[in-house]
Amino acid sequence: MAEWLLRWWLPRGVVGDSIVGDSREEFCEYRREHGALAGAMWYWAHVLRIAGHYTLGDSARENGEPAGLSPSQRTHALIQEIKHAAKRGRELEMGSLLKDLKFGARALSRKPGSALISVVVLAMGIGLSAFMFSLIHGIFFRGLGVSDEHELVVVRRTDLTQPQAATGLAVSLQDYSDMVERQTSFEALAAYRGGTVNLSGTEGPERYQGAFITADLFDVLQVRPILGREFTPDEDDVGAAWTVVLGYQVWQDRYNGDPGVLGKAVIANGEAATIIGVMEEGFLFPSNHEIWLAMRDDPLDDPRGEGVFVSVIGRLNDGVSEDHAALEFAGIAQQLSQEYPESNEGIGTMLMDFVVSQNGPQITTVFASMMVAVLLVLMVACANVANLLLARATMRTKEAAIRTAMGGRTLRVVLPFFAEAVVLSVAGALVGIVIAYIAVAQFDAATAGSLTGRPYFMVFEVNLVVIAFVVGLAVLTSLLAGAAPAFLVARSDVNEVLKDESRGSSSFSLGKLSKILVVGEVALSCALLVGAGLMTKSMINLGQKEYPYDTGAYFTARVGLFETDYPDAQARQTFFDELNERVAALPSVQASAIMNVLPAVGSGRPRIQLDGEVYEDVASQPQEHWQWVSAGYFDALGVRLLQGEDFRPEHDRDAPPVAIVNQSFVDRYYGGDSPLGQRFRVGTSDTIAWTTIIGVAPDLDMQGLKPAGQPGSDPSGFYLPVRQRDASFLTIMAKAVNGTGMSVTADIRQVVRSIDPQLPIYNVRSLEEALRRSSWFYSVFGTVFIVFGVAALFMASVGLYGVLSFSVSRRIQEMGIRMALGAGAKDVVRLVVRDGAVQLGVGLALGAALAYGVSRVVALLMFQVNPQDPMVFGIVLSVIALVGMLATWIPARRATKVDPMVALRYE
Amino acid sequence: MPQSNYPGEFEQMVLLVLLRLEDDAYALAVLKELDRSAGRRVSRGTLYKTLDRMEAKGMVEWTTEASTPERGGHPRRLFSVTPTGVEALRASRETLVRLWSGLDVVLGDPAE
Repeated sequence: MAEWLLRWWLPRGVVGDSIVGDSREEFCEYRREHGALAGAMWYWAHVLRIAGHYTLGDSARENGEPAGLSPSQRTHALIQEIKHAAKRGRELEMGSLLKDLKFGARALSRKPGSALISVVVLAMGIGLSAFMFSLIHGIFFRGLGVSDEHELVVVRRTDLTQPQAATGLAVSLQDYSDMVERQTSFEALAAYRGGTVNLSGTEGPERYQGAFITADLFDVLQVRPILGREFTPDEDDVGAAWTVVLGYQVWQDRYNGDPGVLGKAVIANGEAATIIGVMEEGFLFPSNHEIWLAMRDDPLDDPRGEGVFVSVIGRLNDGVSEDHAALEFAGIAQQLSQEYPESNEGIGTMLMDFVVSQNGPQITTVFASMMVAVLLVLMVACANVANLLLARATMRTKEAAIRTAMGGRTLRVVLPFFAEAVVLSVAGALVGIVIAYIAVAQFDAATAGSLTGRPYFMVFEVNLVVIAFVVGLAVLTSLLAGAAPAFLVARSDVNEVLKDESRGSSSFSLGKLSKILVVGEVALSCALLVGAGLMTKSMINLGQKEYPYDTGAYFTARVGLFETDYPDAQARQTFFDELNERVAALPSVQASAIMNVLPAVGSGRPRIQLDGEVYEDVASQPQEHWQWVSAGYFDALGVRLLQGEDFRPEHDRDAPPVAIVNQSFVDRYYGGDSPLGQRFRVGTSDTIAWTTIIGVAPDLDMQGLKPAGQPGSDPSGFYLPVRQRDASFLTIMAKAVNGTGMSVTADIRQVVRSIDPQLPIYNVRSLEEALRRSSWFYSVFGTVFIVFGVAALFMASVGLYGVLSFSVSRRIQEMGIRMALGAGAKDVVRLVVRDGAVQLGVGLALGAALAYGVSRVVALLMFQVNPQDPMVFGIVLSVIALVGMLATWIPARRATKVDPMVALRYE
Repeated sequence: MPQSNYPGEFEQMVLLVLLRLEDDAYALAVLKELDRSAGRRVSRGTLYKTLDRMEAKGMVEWTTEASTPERGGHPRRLFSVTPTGVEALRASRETLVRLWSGLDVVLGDPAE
């Protein structure tokens, strides 16, 4: 890489080649003496030094010639001087630096308009970058916030026989207990699994998200209860008396923070338990779990590889590396697969960081692409400010030239230009922090854990790390924005400038750089705005999405039954039947149904096997969406079946399995033929009974709101009668007579209470609300992208306007002469506009190409939008063209207002 | 002699080193010799640029030598001083000697 760069920099032919050869030879020697890393570092530094010489010109110093006036010599002299100053540290006295800063601030205040624009532009760039960085820090780097977190390692299972996420799968309880016995890498290896906890007792029934944990989990995490005690080692034994640790919020809400809660008897999931402790506020491990119970599952209850699956986390012994542990666990997995080939063939293990195990690969892609988008915005911002400063610098090249001619040291001459950039960056950073603070607070609220399931340890805040990041950005922007004007001055030819300044634009040598910056800005904002446009379209699509039923008219709620109260499938069946019947009988309810998951929020996709098909392996069996519904589900939604008949109450576990498939399913597998009477198996085993198709329903968004192109984003799927399945957790949906779903809440609560007074219902919301919640992802990220795009458009217009209005002001004299010689206003406008139009055109062409690339990334976040949507591309390109033309036209108009007399006296 | 052909101090040093190194005068050797005998440490870029400049002035010329494996197939340039270069050095020395003569009282005898 470095060599390639070197080759690129050097002149073609033998001269360049021989220098590369010399470098290579010296590098080999250096590496022999100092090692590979030092060698690589030396080589890079070497390349940069050589590049410096070949880019900036040769050495006036070494040559012994007097400091000349050629641009390359001036630049070199500048670099020498900065080096010199940095070495001695004395040249940059605080006094003169402060003076420069003051001078910079004063110079800026003389042109408050452009200074203000610069600050706004930088504040946007820095603010959005800081915002994005806060999110990334919160998601990826903040961690759990427990002590010695680097020692915590999660153990996951990999399974060669089935497709799975990059973060692996949960571990079977049997494997876990073998791991605990055989491993030596971890101080302790704890396990947990999430679950619903129904807490009742004297305070009435309430449902919580809880976790069942081994007794040593809190030890592994090194967290202690703030009240009471943690679990003792025997409390997770099979058959031990059950103990509960409360989360802080549960303790506050349910028990008013009463310390006397310790030792209190409660009913948890229908079983007697004792409260033994309260955790610290904000601790919700592993994700949003509010209550912890001892996990007393017996691995021997189920055949190996079935039953309970747990998440495993351990703390490494001192001095044991993760690699070492990974090796040991690979060995254990191999032993297990030899001992239990039936269940453990092809099962491996995978060790990873806890936070990594919680974030899928998709979230990484999304945030990485957003960070790139933001850095693009920041680059646009820097380019703009550089441009505005360039404009000012050019006006002052004469001043700088005089100072140089009078013997001013180059560093002293250019420092004021950096000083201006520093003043702007600091102001921009301050405003940027405010912007970031507001944006982060908004985002934090919009993605609250209760809405999105965001884990508790992902906290989005503007903290010290973020502030440090902003300081870094401010330094970077000062350098980037200040470098262009400083080099302009350093490289300008004093003689030329002094001769030429009064004649207008010809010595404006860095005009080219300005123009390139503007072209770049137009291109970048094109890309960002196309992203924003596609996002807007996706949000509009979502908002306009029509369902064949009135989503506001439906009440929905979740009900969960526990084995202790409802020991078998029949008992659960009886409960749900009664619930459905009694809800349907309510005078306020028009129709009701029971289902495992609501329509259109997205459902699971088991593998199926079609009758008559032969599948090579499990992976080649198709996956289809499924939903379990009660008879009357389609009626309740007001949807008519296209063929066949609806489920009937007789379709229960004693009857042969039946299914209703949707139209996409029919199109996929049966073409034009009638699917009625056709059979398929639900699941991968070939001993499963055949399910017969008895009806065809229209497509009802079984895929939910998955972005197109993702697995499972097609609507194809099938329905099974809920009475032929066995579920402990089901959803009740009821259509209100008066059209307002939530109006029946009290009636339905009453029904549930009269059937089982200990049973809570939860997730009580209208279908409309439930659907809206499933789309939070689109609206939050759509808004973010739109904000980015608008910021970019603003910046590009400012850039274009800044450059053109500056170039007009530089050419006032020329305009005056032209008009004095008879040029009309039209000609002058054409002259200026032509300048802008070229930059705009090139920028748009590049931007369209860049946008094409961006659209492929944001496709991940979009709902039913073609990533190359011609309308969005068209609108964005025309908006930018329009804004750009406006930014061009204003200075052009100003040019026509030039009074030839004034113009000729100008300067 | 035209002004442009007058070698600067560093150029003189490089020319002298090239003459000393005779057949082994390639860039890295020049660099080492400069350091060793003149105590002058310069960057490679400076040396390359100086050599290029002196080539343009006609004071040095170079031939290529076959590569070694260590150089990854890249050729090595061997520099030599042209008659013009020798002439320039001579002229420079004469001028200096003229200027030095009679100043031993002030500057001390270089041989001491």
